[in-house]
Amino acid sequence: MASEVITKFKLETTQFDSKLRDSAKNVSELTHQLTLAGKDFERFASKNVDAAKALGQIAPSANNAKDKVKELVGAYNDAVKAYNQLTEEQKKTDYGKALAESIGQLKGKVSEAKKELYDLGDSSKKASGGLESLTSALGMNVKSLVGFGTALSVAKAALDVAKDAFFKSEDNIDEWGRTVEGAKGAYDYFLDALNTGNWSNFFDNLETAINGSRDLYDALDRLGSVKANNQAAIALVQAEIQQLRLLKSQGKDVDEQIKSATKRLRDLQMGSVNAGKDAGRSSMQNVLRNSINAMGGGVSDVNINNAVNKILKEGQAAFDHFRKVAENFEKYSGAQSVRDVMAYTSNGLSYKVGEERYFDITKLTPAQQRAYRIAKAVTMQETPLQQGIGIYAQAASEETAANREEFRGNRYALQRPGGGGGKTGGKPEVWSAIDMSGYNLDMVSLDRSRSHVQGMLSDATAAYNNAGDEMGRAAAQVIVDRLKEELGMIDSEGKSFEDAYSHDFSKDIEDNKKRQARDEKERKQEAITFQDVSQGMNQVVGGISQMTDSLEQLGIDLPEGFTAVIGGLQTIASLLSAIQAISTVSALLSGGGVVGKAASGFVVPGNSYSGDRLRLPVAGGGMIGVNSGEVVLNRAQAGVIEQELNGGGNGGPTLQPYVDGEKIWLGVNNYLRRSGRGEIVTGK
Amino acid sequence: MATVETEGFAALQKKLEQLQTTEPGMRKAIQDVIRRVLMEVRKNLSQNAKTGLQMDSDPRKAYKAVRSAVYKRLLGGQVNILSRRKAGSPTDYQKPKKGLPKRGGNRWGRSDRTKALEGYEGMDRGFVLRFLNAGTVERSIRSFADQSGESHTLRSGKGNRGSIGGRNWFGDRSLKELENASGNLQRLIDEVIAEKFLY
Repeated sequence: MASEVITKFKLETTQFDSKLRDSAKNVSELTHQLTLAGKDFERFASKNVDAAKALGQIAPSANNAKDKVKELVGAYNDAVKAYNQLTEEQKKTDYGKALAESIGQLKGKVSEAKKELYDLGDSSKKASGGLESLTSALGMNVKSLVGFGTALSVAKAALDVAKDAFFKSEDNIDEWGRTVEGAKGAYDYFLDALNTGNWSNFFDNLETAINGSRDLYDALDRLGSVKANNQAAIALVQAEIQQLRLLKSQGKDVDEQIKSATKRLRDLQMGSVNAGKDAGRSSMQNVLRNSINAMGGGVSDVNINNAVNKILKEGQAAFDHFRKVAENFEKYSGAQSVRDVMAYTSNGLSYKVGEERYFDITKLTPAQQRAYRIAKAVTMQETPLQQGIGIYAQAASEETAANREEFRGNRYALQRPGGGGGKTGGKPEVWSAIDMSGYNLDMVSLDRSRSHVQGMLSDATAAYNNAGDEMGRAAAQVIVDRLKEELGMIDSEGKSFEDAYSHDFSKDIEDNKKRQARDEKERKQEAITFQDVSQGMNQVVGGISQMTDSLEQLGIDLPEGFTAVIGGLQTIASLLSAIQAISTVSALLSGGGVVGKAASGFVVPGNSYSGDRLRLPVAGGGMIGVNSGEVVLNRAQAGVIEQELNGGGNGGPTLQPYVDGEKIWLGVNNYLRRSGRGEIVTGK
Repeated sequence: MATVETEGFAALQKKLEQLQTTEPGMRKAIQDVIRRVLMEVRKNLSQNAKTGLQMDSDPRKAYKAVRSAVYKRLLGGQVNILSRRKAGSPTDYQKPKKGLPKRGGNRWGRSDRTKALEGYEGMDRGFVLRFLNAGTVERSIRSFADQSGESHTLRSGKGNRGSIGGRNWFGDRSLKELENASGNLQRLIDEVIAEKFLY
């Protein structure tokens, strides 16, 4: 009987090696498919580059210059927005460079369209000889305003009739005056928009500018009318008062008549005063409103009137104050942004030469923006504002003269202190019902300072209490309600407005420094997260349909092998199933990351093969370090691996104890014989 | 702008090729693992021979004769109780025999090997284990059997020493130890593959 003296074993690795070879082959095929897909996507990318280049050659579809500018500005803004969304790396690609080039071309086209809009006289064939003759008379280039809306269309229509017949009508004179003022206002507004470059505001607020100018003409016209029309009446009343004084000196009882004449004289003079103040205010409001609208608007009439009041009361100190406010906002508020400094070649292409910081009003709070716009408007429009100040000042001096004359007249008649404008103490004047009903409600909005409105409210309340009849009380109630409403508006808007003016900039400086340091730190931390890498890979699959749609819209044919790309990407699943045959992947379960969200597992791409530098989010939260080439499985795949480890499936090397007694016996006998020991002697 | 990164797949393919057992690095690593396992098996068998065969009192410690070997060209190994090959090569110096005595006849004398085999001398522990494992027939000190099995008697007289029953210990025990070690072997090979795949 042969007894075993040797026990051998051999590892069976055929199946193991076979599966590895199959897996490697699948990976090779997948790599080849993806390489083809990469070439196809290069075609996608090249088409994208072509599309970006075509953007710069866009021709607007609008027929008139105004819409053309609007269209080009819109395209330009969209292109800039798209460019700003690119990363620095993407900006360096062909697509980014083509887009930047197109933006430069669009900017050139916008400039050309603006120029075309400005200089319309040459292209207009409707200008008549009358327009040219008015150019020198009005001192402005009326031809250049042909494209602007209502004002100039009226002017053109007006010029179609005979000039003398036109000016014979008072209405036509006024309409012509309004038109001219409207044209002037529009032209000034146009110049403001040209300076600021804010063309969307220009077109949106052009009508406001024209109407404001037309209203200004009305105010000036009324002032002139009042002055001219009341001139004779004032002279007559003054002559009447002189005669009454003469009679009084002769001992006649004419006190009541003097008093009545004095009152009539005051009414006539105050009419001129009020018209003058109205015109002065209206002029200043118009100037400020147009300038603010050119900067973006958003300021109510309440705050504009408050600014006008401040200027009228404080004069140069107000201008200095607003200038300082504007400088503080621009320098210390921290509302800074960075923009590229572009230079242009001779053929209109732009290129970046550097970066600069600029004041960005959008970073201020709404109240601060309002305050800044008013301050800047006052600073920039100092000279036009002075014209309105002059008109108002003349009216104020006329009021002083009227008050003095009234005082003299009343003193002469009654030897008692005269009443002024209702604010000199004592019992307020009791207005008759007729006067109250004729009270000009618009006049309450002339002086919008809080103290003045409060004073008028007190007077109106007193007048209500002292009204003799129902009609008087009703009329007074209207005034009281209106003044209360205005007081409420002043309080609600004025507080935030004043807060903006009294803003402490020292804190803004510190906050701004911290914010800039934080932004700089975040920009430097360009950590390539594994999520970015995997998302970049997933975009290959997920973005295919979106890219297809956009390219189809551009009329680009789908590349060849498109379906092969999908097929190649889908072999990821088959690859992972081949890798599952390697039972050793189970080692990854204990220390690796299982991505719960991924539809299927994936291989970590990239070039980082050691150091665990790439970050992988794990299902339980947090990040783990992984290297390129590592395999990450999802939960389902990991479960399959676990089953294999626990006995299911085939995989890995197997152990086969290899014992063959006969062969061993013969082998041992041969050995013993060779070594001279004989052989094993056993019974067989 | 869309690009497809394939470098990760190239790295994966390289890893998969490195894992194949035909690769020298992988082969050497698995052979090291097999060596570790066989050493453990050898130790267990030797201990079992010591206790199971009651050889712990053997002054020559024949239970230490269990040997293991890892194959060079295969992924495998063996455990055995064969004797070691004599060290050295045929070209080693051999001490010349003494000169023939002048009186004639076969007067070379018994070699050391003969003395070891017939006298249980020397360090041939494997021989002891082998005959314990396989057993013997009835033995006579003055007779021997040639290749054909014919028995010859050297000189007259009897000298029966009886027979030793074979234990048949090695076959079953070694198989059992290898089966026990197979799980550990698979685990270690798993670790090798995981290490090669991950790093």
